[in-house]
Amino acid sequence: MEDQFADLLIRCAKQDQIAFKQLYQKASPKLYSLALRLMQKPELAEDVLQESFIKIWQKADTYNTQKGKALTWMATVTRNKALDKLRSQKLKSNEMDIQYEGLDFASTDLEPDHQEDLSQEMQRLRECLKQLQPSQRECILLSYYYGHTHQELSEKLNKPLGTVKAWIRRGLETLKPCLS
Amino acid sequence: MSELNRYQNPQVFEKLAMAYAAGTLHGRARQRFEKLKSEHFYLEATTSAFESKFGNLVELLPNEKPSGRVWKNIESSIKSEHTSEGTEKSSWFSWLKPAYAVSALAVLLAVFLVLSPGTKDNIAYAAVLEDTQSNPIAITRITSDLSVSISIMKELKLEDGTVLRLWCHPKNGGEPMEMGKISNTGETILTITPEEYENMKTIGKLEITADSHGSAQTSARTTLLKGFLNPIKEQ
Repeated sequence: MEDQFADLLIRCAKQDQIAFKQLYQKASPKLYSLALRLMQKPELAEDVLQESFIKIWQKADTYNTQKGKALTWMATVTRNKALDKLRSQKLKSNEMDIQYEGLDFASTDLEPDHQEDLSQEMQRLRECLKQLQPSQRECILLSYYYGHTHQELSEKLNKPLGTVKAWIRRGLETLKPCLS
Repeated sequence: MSELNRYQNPQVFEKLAMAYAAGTLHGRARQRFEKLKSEHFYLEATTSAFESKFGNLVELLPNEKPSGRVWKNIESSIKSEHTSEGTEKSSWFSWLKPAYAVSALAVLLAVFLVLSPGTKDNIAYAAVLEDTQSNPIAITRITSDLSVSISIMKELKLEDGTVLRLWCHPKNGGEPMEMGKISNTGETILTITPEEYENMKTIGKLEITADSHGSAQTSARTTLLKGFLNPIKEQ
């Protein structure tokens, strides 16, 4: 599946609009899912998805396979778009009705019986994440998927800010050699 | 340690790049890092490497279907972008073509006039005659000593029995007047009367035709070249 994303992206770089539509159809469900968690509102998430795909179309020629998988490159584009939008609109999760939360999807997929659906790269990342203490892993995943700040995590998890910061710092320290 | 020196320390910038990619770097620290990242390739490359690792987390997300509106907006956006690029290109070329043609003709005329020693001071009118594809093929000079010189720069292929004639068209749109037969190659010199020379003020355009049979009045005529007649010095 992954090669297909890369192939489509390379065709997009040549202004192939059919390839772009196929890429949208295949990748948008995951990228929209990411945007939904970061933005919390479907209409805002759709705006982010739209802007992200326009950027993907415009910047497709800057992608190469050395930059990693096409889906992860597109996820980074989408995530950065969402964070930019949140920053520019000064939107904060505590000002919105929370519609998406929790890590049920991640904890389920960290189980071995879901392994065959995951790419090799995700399987390696999963092994690294499993080395973390549950609290460390939870803080890092909530930061990635929901864009929560340390303060927001502290409030959400009902833990002191210093504790949350320490969990994140130690979690990243543990992950670093594993990811490298 | 200055801020940049701090970021040049791999122990520091790798940690920050990782935190940025994982999404645990927030607020002003994130903005400061983004600024430095845009200025220093090694920070950008390190961050990009970590982003490609954490980006795999998207695989764990459940699929969610966006509304059809999103694709429609994306499609219309890239199509309008494509159209505006096309418009820009066509407007660029539509601007370029006459500009190029005018400048090419001006250069051609200037070169020709400069390379005509002894006559350039006498040149009263000049015209560059172009074919139907706007290629400059001939240069005509009318001098105050009552001569009309027609230089064909690229030989015109003619069928047997066909003759070339030079015509002048009044600015007011009256009937064209024949100035004489010309050769299909090299230079032809025609002589005009003082009245005809005086009359050149009223001429707007010159034309070279190919006349297949008979006289100028009875033959089948095809326009091969034409061009505007320009005064070179004040009359």
